[in-house]
Amino acid sequence: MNSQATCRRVFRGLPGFNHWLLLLCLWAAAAPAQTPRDISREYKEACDRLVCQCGCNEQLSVCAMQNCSSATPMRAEIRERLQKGDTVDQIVDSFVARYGKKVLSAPTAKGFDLSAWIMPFVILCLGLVVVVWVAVRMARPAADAIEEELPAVDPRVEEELKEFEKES
Amino acid sequence: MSNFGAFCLLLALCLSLYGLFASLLGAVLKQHRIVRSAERAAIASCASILLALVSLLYLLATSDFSVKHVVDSTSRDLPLFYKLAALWGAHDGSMLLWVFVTAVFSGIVVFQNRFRYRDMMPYVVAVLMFNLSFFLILNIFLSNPFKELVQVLPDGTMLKFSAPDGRGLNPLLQYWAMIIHPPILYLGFIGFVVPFAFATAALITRQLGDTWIRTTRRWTLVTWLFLGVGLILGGKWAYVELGWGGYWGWDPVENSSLMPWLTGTAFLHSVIVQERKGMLKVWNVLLVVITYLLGIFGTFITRSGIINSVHAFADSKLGIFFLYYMLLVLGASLYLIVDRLPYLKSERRLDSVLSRESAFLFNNLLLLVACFAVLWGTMFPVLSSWVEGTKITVGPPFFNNVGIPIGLMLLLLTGVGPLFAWRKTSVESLKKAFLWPVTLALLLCVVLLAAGMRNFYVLVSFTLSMFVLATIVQEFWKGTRVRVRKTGENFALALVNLTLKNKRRYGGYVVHLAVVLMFIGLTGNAFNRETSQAMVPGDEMQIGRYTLKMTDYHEGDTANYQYGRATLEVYSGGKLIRTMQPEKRFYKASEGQPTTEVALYSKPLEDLYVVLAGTSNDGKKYEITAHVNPLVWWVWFGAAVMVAGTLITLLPDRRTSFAAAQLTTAEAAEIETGVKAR
Repeated sequence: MNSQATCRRVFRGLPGFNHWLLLLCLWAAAAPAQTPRDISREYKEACDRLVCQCGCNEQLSVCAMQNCSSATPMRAEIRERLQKGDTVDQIVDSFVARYGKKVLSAPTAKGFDLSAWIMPFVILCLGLVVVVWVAVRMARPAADAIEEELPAVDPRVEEELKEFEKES
Repeated sequence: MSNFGAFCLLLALCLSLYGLFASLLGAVLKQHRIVRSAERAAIASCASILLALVSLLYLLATSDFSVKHVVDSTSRDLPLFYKLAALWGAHDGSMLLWVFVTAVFSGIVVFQNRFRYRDMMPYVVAVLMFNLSFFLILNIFLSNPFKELVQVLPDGTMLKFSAPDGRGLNPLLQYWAMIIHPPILYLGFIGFVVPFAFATAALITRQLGDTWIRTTRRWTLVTWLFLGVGLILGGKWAYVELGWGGYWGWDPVENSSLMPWLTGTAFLHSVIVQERKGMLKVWNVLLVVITYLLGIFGTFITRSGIINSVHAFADSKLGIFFLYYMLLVLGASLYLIVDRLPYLKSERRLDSVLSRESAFLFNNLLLLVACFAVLWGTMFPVLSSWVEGTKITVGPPFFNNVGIPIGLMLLLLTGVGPLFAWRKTSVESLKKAFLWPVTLALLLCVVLLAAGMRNFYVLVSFTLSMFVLATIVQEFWKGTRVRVRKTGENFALALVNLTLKNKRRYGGYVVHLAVVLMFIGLTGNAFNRETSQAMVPGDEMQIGRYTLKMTDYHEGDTANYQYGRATLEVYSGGKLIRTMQPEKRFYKASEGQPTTEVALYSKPLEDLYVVLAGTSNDGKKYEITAHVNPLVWWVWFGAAVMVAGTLITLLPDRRTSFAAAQLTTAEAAEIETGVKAR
């Protein structure tokens, strides 16, 4: 109780604390709108999302061939269109319209391509179910399990008996 | 000399086939002498392949351009070191190296076990010789490194001839890490044949206890280490030589090396459960088979041309044979496993889901899912072309998005697993064990949030790294403190003795520490910056806290290549801190193919990575690309720690330990469980 009262006193003592707090919230809310466009980051993103068409099968950001017949004009076009104000999505879409899906460095999230994205997590979920099932099943009291699951005779002995019967 | 080499290979094939059939015959007839002769044939086959290898090295060193492999992978002006390394610079020679490593491993196994495991050894030898024969057949009949250049005359007669010079070694391979990367990777890929041979022999002889596991654990660990080092060297090469600023590009061949490493890691963990608890026997045999097959799959990817890759050997006709071989091995192994299921029953049951055994199960699940995700992404272009008729690209954005969550879950388990006790963990002891690691991790998370960090994955990665780091430190701290108290040793000595007394456990923790360090390095990727500028001497460019001032551009000539070299002064805070000289090289024998020589200024906090990308279109300016890559140093440092940790676990056991003898069973248990003995 005492500490709360002290806190209130301290804050009340600060000049215009509530105003500062309000200003801070307003600034935080307005901050994203004021952030300047980071063209170099957008350029990197576009280059990461597209594949060079010279046959190297590398992303535009990776193809290191000097004056590559495919990567160089593609990069120039990306830079130019970003300067004009196009978004990364618009630029990528226009390249897909020109070259098809093979220009993308990752599968889309549509149709058969979607399975590429979800399959690892489907397997993870199935695996979790199996592991939990195995863990629970293996965790049953050993006493009941032994009689059910262990063969009456050691398999190796059983095998030898079979062989002996055959021979005789 | 080429005829001698070819003869040695043929002789090796005959010997390995003899070894295969003689060992099986000896096992069936229970004739020890026949088995011995099979083992000697295996060693003789190894010697014969060594002679073939020496022959090819001689042909390469003396630039015998009548041999196709020498023409394809060397030139007269190539330095001798690279001439010898050209052994694995083209497809045929690299197959010979593969065959040689396989033969050496087989020879070592035969020699090591000449007085041991006599029931199993005939089958071990048979599997090893079967594997060797397969690769020898491919090497001799489909990719013979001793093939000579032949010209067919109009009248149909064939004339041998010698080329005036060779095509040169691929310029990208002319870098130290790339020279040792393939042989080390091969040691990793091929080594898994030994655990596979022992597992198969154990299945055939029905000796499915711990014997085969104990025999092959060291082999697996060494193989796993080589594969890991091979992967890291490949990354280092890509970072320094390719010039795109990264070290892992999720290339299909890189992926195919990662997959057996992941399943090998799973095996190294699950094998502990079998050794201690007699559980997971089927799973361990399956893991060994999968890991061996993934090694072959990597070769299939590299040599089949099924998937585009910078590493792939073009125009290879071997793919289909690898496919048949893999199907045969898979079918036979599955048949054996199913047939021997009654012998693979667990000896004990799981006492609690809250136990280290369960943690190992989840660890195996995540490693296998990670392996599946890599396999799925690697093969998806092929699937997509079958289903939709379009071969799409599955590149880094896919692998990063799918791999990061799985990797983070694995990182979490790296910390959680060791906190669980064997058999059963009480909630009370869990609370105690988790208290400090969780507190420190949350503290770091709050600090990062307060510092403005908003990237979700970065936050999770750093938080989990702190958690795992704290668990490892806590484990060492608890153990060392008990030792100090009981033996009176000083802290440092107690720490060393603790580690040496239980090398597997504490060496394993050092490997876990390495994983944390590497995760920290990988997380740095989120902060990478890059900028490019066309410059002339006198121009400046800015990246991060660095100002790069171009002072010179110089062109030169060596016997092997011509080069263009830019000189840049690097200033930070107005002070000159470094002069960097990125290069572009044009190798003469490779028709002027350009390669990049990166200039690198590497510090623990960040790397400044400068590339001379080329000249501008008008030829008057030089295109400079600069990257600032934070925390990359930790990836290489983590890799070195991983090697150290693995070597600790591989140290031979000492029969007596001076201080350990003074510990009572209860005190040893205290260190083991981290709970004070009452």
